[in-house]
Amino acid sequence: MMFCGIFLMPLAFLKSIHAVSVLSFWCTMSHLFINFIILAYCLLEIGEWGWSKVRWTMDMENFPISLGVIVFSYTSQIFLPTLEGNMADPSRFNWMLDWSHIAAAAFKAIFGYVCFLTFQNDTQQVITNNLHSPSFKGLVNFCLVIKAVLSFPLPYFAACELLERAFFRGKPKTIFPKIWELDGELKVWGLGWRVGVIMFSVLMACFIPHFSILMGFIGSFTGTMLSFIWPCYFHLKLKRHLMEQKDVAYDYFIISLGFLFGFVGIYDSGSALIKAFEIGLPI
Amino acid sequence: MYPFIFLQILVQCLYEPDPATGAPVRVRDSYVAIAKVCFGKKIGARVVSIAQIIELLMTCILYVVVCGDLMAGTFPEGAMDSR
Repeated sequence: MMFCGIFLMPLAFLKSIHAVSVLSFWCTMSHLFINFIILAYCLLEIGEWGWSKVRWTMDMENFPISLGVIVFSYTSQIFLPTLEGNMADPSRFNWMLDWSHIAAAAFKAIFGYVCFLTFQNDTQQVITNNLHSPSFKGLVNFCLVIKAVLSFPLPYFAACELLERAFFRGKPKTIFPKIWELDGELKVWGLGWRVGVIMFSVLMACFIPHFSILMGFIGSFTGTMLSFIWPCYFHLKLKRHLMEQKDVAYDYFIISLGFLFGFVGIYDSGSALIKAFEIGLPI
Repeated sequence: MYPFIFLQILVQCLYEPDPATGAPVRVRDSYVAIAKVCFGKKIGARVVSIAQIIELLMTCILYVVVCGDLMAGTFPEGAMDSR
């Protein structure tokens, strides 16, 4: 992890969301590349697909776990106001939102379906661990590491902006002075602060045990609040006089879904966390 | 598409109709700005900021964890420890 952290250091120099967008674009490209490789591999094994093994009923025991992962992978509400504000043509925002979510859902569903057909009951959680030859697995894992590194800039940039807005706008608004010079460059200690945020992420990743379960636990709370409950609440509070009856009902439905996902997530990850610490699972 | 409306409502909250023309005008620029209006200037904005920062930092840390696990999986004989 520390090794990968070294590659993340240059990100402290990021200044505009345009650069972040370019990196995110390449992240998507590498993601498509990996998908393509694995799908090609699965198609090569088409003679061994287990069509009969696919169950179409809902498995109530395992579904809540997958629900948490699925909900987390779609949490994008935090980025939407900034994205919409920076778009060259904001009128296409809704179209972009709909189709990017449909594309993501279709991709993930098809990918999961094809991989399950290929590996059937041996399918592991991290699908790339199913691959047999070590060099192919090494290649795919390397591409995945590149994808993870390229995914880092977006939340990092957003987190830095938020922290800057909270702490670094100069007295009397905030406690600390501005980290930007007048000509748009970062001050030296401002750069140090940004590198510090990266170091903080790397250190937390290295030293907190069972981070993924802990993340599921905290994320069930903050994620459902940010993605489901608060947007609907704000919408109801600000726009209720303009809304039709069915829109109001839909908002209340989403709020209750948010609470449901939150409780289920907290309960499941809480018990998983307790079990992991009791049994002493490997970190 | 109707089911995806709940994704669009946050951005809809950024706009208010202009009293003169009726066309939508962007009055708020961020999630925290909306929270200031709805939850209260001091506490609401702070709560939402903290939730957002926690969520974003956890996403960052998660990507680093994923990198570490993948590298450890690639070199199982121990050339690279997962730390």
